[in-house]
Amino acid sequence: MSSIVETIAMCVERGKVNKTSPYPPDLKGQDGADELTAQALADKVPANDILTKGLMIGMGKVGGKFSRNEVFVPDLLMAAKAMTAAMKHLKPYFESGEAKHRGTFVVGTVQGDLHDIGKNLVSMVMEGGGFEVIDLGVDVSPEKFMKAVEEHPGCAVGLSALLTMTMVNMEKTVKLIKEKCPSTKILVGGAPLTEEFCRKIGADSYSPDPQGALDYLSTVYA
Amino acid sequence: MRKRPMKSFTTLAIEHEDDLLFGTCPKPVRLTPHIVIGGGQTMPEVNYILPYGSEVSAETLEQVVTLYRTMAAGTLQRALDLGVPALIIEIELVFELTLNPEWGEKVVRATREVMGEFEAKGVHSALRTTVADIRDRVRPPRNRTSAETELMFESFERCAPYSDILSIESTGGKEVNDSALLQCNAGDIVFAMGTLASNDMAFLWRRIVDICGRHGKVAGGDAACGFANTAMQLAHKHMVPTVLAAVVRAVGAARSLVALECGATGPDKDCAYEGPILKAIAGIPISMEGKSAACAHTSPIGNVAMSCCDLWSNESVPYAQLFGGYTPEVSLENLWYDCKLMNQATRSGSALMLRNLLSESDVHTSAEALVLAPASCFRIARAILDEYFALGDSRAAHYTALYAEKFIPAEYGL
Repeated sequence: MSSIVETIAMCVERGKVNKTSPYPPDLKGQDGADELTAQALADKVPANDILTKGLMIGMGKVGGKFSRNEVFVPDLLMAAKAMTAAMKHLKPYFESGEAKHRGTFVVGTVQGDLHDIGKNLVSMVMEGGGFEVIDLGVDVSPEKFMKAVEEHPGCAVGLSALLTMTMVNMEKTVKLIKEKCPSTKILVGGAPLTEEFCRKIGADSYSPDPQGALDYLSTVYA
Repeated sequence: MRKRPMKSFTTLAIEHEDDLLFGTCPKPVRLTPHIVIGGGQTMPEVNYILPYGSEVSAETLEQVVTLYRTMAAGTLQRALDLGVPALIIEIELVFELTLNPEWGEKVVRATREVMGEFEAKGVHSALRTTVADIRDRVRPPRNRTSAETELMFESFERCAPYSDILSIESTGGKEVNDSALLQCNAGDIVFAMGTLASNDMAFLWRRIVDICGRHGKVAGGDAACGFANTAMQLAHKHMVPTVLAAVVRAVGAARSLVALECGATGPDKDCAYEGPILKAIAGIPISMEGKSAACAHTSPIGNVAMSCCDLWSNESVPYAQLFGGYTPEVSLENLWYDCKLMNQATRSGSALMLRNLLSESDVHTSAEALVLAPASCFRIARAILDEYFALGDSRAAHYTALYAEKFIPAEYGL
């Protein structure tokens, strides 16, 4: 791997967005993920290498630290911000097909539930993991999830719920998607959920943290 | 509706931190001839919810109402069996019961009827109804003019005749606070709670107090649950530092005080852990939850939360069967024995000692517990009042500094 791609990975891991960003303090004044990605493309580094060997490696490292309780959410947010700054340079390469998402991840908070902190964190980590994320928002009906599945063939679906009273809507959503599109992989998460509940409603994977969800999808889309 | 002038608190209602005790407060609230909250005794407040997987819809409504009736009867029968002289039942309306105000009314009315039956048997009870804040179903929330806003107020109106206390856990400003919390951005957290949430609460609580006044009911209070308890749970999951969660708790007190400035009298909500700070400032009775709420969520403040309570609550428990009976009944029994201990300590002159033991058993293991120790609450209360008169200047400065850069829904009226 070229050193510039390694440096991009380091910038994402540490949340160094661009030259003017003051964070992290020890990298102040140095190029960040923004400038380095532009430079790498100018140097003819393949866009897919920047994505898979730079950005995704950086996000994977910070995601792992987050799972091990070594960093807090703001560290993850800064990494995602650095990744976003880099991704804007890669956009034309995605459109031309030179760089490819690993898959599409449709995510939302189930009907009757307005909590979105967990869902947003999962979205961020999935994006960092190379997936195209379709965020349907909160209070999402089973039918709306189903429509998104039909619009994005081959996608995986993430369902979030915080309230015990809305878990029943998670079950309805899983049932509808599995009836109409049985091969769709469905991930569930949220404070009141358990592995047992996940199995009971027929979902494919439960994870208590975002990185676990990414790890699961990485095996599915390997 | 005529706009009421807001109260201002300029001196602490409790002058010495040793007087910040459980079971007693300067402004007790009399709900019935038999139920006075903060009048010298603590009493249980029991909250329950439908079993896991329950659905609330037009088709299931009758079953839902029957279940609420069963849950109330079981709880009150246990009170009768244990000789609990008085208790509060809290019904927290879920979204569906608030979005359909006539459904919520049916549940609350059924509960009231059961309470009446047990009143005749000698069990005195009062009902707190907490209406769900459904305004942020749409994003960004339209806090003042949406259909949800009107349904929410209709829900208050319909439930008021059958309730003794009305409360809410309002969420104005939460959309900004959630983002600020994840960034651990203390400045934006202060802005979300101190400016956006407080402004929204002034709008909300004037109307709630007016509804309570017209129905002769008690305006209980609000909780910074969606703010400070979110921070507590994020800290528990190691997503944000626990010290930040402790700071958010303290900031939440200034926000929740707005309900009292608008005329709420307490008892404050159980999940408003900022309650002791409000009690020191306004002298109102408060409800609290701690180890008794382990059925609902974990917390690092199980004992210290009990140290200044007037009502002692289980937060919420889904209906399920245990060896010892159904969950609301078991919760009541746990709460009642805690209350008996506190009341005995009061009778024997040991209340201060018990309060300090409850506090000291937690404060050395958690910043979040430390901020709720009576001494800390007292200092925070004093600091809030000391800054009160500087508020106008600080608000103006805040708007100038932040307004240009932030998305602030016009409905906050800033």
